[in-house]
Amino acid sequence: MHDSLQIEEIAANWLSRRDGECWSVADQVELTVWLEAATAHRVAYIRLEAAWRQARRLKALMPSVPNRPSNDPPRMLTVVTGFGK
Amino acid sequence: MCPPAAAGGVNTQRHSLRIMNAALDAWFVREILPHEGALVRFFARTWPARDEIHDLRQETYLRVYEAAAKATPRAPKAFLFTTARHLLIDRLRRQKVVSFEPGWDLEDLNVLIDEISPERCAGAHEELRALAHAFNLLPPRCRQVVWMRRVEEQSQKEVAAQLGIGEAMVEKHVAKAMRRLADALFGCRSSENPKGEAASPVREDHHARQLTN
Repeated sequence: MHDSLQIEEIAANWLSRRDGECWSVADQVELTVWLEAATAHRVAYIRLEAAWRQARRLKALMPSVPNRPSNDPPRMLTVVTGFGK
Repeated sequence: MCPPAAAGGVNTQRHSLRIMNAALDAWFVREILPHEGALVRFFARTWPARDEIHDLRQETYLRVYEAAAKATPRAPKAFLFTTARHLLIDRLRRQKVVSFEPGWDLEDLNVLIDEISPERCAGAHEELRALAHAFNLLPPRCRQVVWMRRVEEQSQKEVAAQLGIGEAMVEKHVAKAMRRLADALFGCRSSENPKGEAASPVREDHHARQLTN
């Protein structure tokens, strides 16, 4: 595996952990150390972070069914032509 | 032991460094990442070893980021591609013995760079379409986790409980999803470009498609 893929994988693991609820001060320190260790780390991290932030926009496509049973797999999303212009 | 004043100085320095980093990060996300599709296509056209493209992209990004930390480039896109070109030249010089396809040489780089069209993702709608497309290609369980976390904004704990999986597993799905979504979002479905080139030679794409069939 190439280094860049490995770094991306580690960055994704950091982000998903930070996104969870067990995030501690010690974790934050460790993450900061990792980010500052190499620009390659930082760049991979902010790229994924930006994408994950933008994933919130999927909300715009949420079907207006408020009480979807949570065990239904979510349906496929379609972008309606002309939407959001 | 450090005198308090010195410790304070270090803290202030660290604080301003962090603010600087945040501004630089934002610049990078805004000015550089939207060109990822074009960048990856440029590498795909010019570099014979497809499995090195991810690495080339990453190396380009880090060079751009480090240069921007010293002075923000005025023309980010041009700077990005100049950096990419220099990187390829560096790599070529380093690896003297390589099996390139016939007819390929350093001079091609100049021509090819000029040919890069000023393609950009066609705004928010295109991005949303790319995002939805990538979302649809995620494996079902992974898709479900993304939906619950990002759209329904449920906590990790809630998602884990509802799906009957551990929180570590939720994190695993999230980690996988964000990589796929990033490829789709910044590569902007370049497979839909008129020449029909493979957009991002990024791994797992065909695999993802199989999963949905």
